[in-house]
Amino acid sequence: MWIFNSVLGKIFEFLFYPFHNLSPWIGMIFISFLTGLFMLFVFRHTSNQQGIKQIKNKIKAHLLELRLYKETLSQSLKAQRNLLGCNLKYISYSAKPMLVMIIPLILIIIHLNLWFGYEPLSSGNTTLLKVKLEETHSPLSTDVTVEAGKGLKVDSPPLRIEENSEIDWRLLVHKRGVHDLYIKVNGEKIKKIVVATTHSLHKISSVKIQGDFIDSLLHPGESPIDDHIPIHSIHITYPNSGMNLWGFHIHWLVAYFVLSVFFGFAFKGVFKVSI
Amino acid sequence: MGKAKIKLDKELMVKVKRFADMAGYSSPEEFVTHCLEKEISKLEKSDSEEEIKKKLKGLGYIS
Amino acid sequence: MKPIKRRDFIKWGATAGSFLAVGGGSDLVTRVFGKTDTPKKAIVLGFDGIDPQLLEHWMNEGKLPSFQKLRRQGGFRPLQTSIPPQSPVAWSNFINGTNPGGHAIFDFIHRNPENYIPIFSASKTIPPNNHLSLGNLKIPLTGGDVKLMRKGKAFWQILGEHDIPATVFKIPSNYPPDSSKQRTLSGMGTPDILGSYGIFNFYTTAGANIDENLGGGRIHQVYVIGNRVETKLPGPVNSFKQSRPETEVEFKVYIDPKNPVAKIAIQGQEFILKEGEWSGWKRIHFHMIPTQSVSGICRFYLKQIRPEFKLYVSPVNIDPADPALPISTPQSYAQELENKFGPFYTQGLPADTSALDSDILDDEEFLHQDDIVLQERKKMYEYELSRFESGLLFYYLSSTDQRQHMFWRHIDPHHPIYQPQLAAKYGNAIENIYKEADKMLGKALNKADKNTVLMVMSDHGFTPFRRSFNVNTWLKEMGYLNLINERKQGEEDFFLNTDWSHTKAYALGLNSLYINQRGREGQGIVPSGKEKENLVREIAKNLEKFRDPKTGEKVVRRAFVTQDVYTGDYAQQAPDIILGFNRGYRTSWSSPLGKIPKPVIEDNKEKWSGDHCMDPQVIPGIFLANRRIKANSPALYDLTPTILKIFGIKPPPHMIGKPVL
Repeated sequence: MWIFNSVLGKIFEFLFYPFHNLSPWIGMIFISFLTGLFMLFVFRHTSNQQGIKQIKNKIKAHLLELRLYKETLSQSLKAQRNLLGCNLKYISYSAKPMLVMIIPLILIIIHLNLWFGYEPLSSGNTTLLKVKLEETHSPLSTDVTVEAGKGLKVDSPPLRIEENSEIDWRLLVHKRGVHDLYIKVNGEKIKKIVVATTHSLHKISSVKIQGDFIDSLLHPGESPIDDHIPIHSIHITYPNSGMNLWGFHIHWLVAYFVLSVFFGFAFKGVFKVSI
Repeated sequence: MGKAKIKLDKELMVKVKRFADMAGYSSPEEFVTHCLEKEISKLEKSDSEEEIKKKLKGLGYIS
Repeated sequence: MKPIKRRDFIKWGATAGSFLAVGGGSDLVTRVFGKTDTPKKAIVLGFDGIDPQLLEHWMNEGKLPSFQKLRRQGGFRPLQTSIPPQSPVAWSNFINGTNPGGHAIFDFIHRNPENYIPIFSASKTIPPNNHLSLGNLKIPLTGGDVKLMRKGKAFWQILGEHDIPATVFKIPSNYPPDSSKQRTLSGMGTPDILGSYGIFNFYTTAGANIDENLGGGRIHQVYVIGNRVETKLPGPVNSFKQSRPETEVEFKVYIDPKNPVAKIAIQGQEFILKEGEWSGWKRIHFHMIPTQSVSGICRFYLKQIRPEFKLYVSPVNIDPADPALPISTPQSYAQELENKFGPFYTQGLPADTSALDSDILDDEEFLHQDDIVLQERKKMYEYELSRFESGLLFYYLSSTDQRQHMFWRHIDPHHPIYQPQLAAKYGNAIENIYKEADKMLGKALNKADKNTVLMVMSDHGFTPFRRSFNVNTWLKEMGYLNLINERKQGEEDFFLNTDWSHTKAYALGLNSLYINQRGREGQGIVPSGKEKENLVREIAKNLEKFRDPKTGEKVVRRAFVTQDVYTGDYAQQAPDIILGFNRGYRTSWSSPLGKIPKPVIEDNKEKWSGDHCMDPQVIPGIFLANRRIKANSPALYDLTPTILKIFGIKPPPHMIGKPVL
């Protein structure tokens, strides 16, 4: 799973490389444009284009019928029934491309969340480092230490919460950049990346996790923790990011959907796709 | 105004007598009446008075 | 003079809007933006409570170089303060250029004459009068309102009418801010999210020492179970429900079994504090009904973990990013500052003097807390100063006042709670805040060019507060006030034990005394006219005669009969007598709310040890300017026409002062 995540991750890094220092909106517009094209491509090749054209014509006809025979109850009821039937058929035509698209879109969204979901930490600020142990290990008896790389400082003694199998520390960022943090347990050293860059668009993985297929799929930002290490996950708290539009915060997912659909519709004529 | 009797625990009654005397009340009845009135008046204060008091309290010049 | 044209105004407003990218819609268009040149400019620094004697002393010792420089450039005079010299009254004198008869603020606390209940003088909350009742819900159909009680026109409104831009930062007696196109942020008088002057929360396992009657705070008994504390942060009353329950937000504190460190988890936010540390601002949402919540901000201070757990939470302040109540004009100004500097104290007087007074915070902790306030203010000051290019900038600082109130006991060996060890440690706290003010002034001096008039003012000075006078008890002893039940004396607030049918006068607020006047007071007995006037004069004379049995000193230096000293449209609403206390004396802690304790006069054993609610002659404020000061004895209300004159505006007829520069 990690190889797959890693390859996909590299693709996104390549795609976003030119946008690091630009407004996140530029990167968002770019990726939404690509997604729009991808959706058109899938639509064109997996849907019954001929069928969609016909059914749309039929819907138009029934709408016309409805308007023309609005005085005649039986005719208008019939038109409504036909309209409903056509609509269901139209939906069924769209179902196949939707099904084909859904898996890649989920993967894209999971990766995009690494880019648009969080803001980098800033210098002079603190954050919470949360290490969750395997439930079989007590935080009071397991020796876990943290070693901060350049630009970071461990700013508090460990806070051990037995009921949650958790040990927390406060980290202080004193220099901007991408920093390494090492968690040491049983002679093993695990690296966790901490992002405090000035880039307006940067990949940020808040969680490094040991886990099954689903866990790895949902947290693709960093390589998973080895199975034999008694740590389940390592969290760094980052501020949530939002897309700022004239002072209003919009969730990036909303912006992404609206823009992708916009680009899809805008370019459907160019690629001669019926939606 | 009619009067009603209230039962008190014996031990408490002894204390009431002693403290009523110490505090200079003319009788245990007067002492008990005063205590009860004091408590009731706390409960009787309207919500708005309590709210006003709470709001005024934050001002450093008063206690 | 070249006034700003309307078109420029809109242009600058719109430009500002696009840069700032904050909400507020129409506000942005109508904003006055200080860019268009006014040939003359004015910077006014308002340092609350700076005392002329202390200032002169430290200036002469060379400790306040910027004040010295300003004194050399123009001059320095004591500034006549208001009657009474309380901040809301004094700043209103300055805002309107009148005495209290012209602005109707006579004391921190006024009363409802119908029922003798004390009320805040500064603002009034008007609840919505139409509701839709749905089960337990009470949905308001019309909006409620908060009303500024200060009357008349503020000087920045007059400047606005002449298209002179102004920024007025945190001036007292301006909550809710007077409607204006100018940039204003409300100051003293701005409540916390509960609508109070500031109620902190303190969570402790040390339940035995809980004092339920604590002023300005709430104590919560908590238990540490399995290294965890679970408790609640109280919020505003939920007025959407019939029973008006208090809103609350649950939170948990996790404690390490050995290390002095804890994690607080509240509304999805988690943060670590070491013992003795303050958190940054945390934003809390108090939910009322679905779709309706109120946003507030607060700071946590982990005082102690073991042996007893002690956690202080600051009063929940109105969130400047999403103000539940009006705190600025335009509304976007508070948001703009929040955007630039993050959350900040919006509460009127943010130094938590109540927490220090009740030993929840000690001297060190209080200084640290007020330092947070000071740092916030200084950052915003530098920002406002850097972008100030025309018109007027007024900037206000409260720490000068608050630290003198709390630390006077360390510079006054005669104070009842003077402690030499503490004095050795904190005796320089007041001097230090004067030095901070000096540094701020230094920045303004650098900014001021030859066209800039720079003025520094304070609303009053300071004196020790050693002895407290129970005015109502004195009235009772003199036979002017009678109780229903003698035995209950000292138990009730709000005059609940007062026999109004045999009471001629009562004191309420910090300097106010009222006659129980027939037709005005709910149960008034003294007829207006000659009889009342004679009574007023008699009480005033007797007050001035009264001497402290312990020291032999006069307690009330002057009792002002308000009809002699107030002019203006609202003079009739004034209390009948204003008490001008002697140096060292003030009204007691419980008198202002109508409590009548047994002793007439007693030692002030509170940490709140310096005060200014005295005879105005005892505690003038300060006035310095970089222009020659013509008047020998300027007054607060003279500074208003002085400002107008700088911009070539003729003072309106209601102003009673004369320009002094």
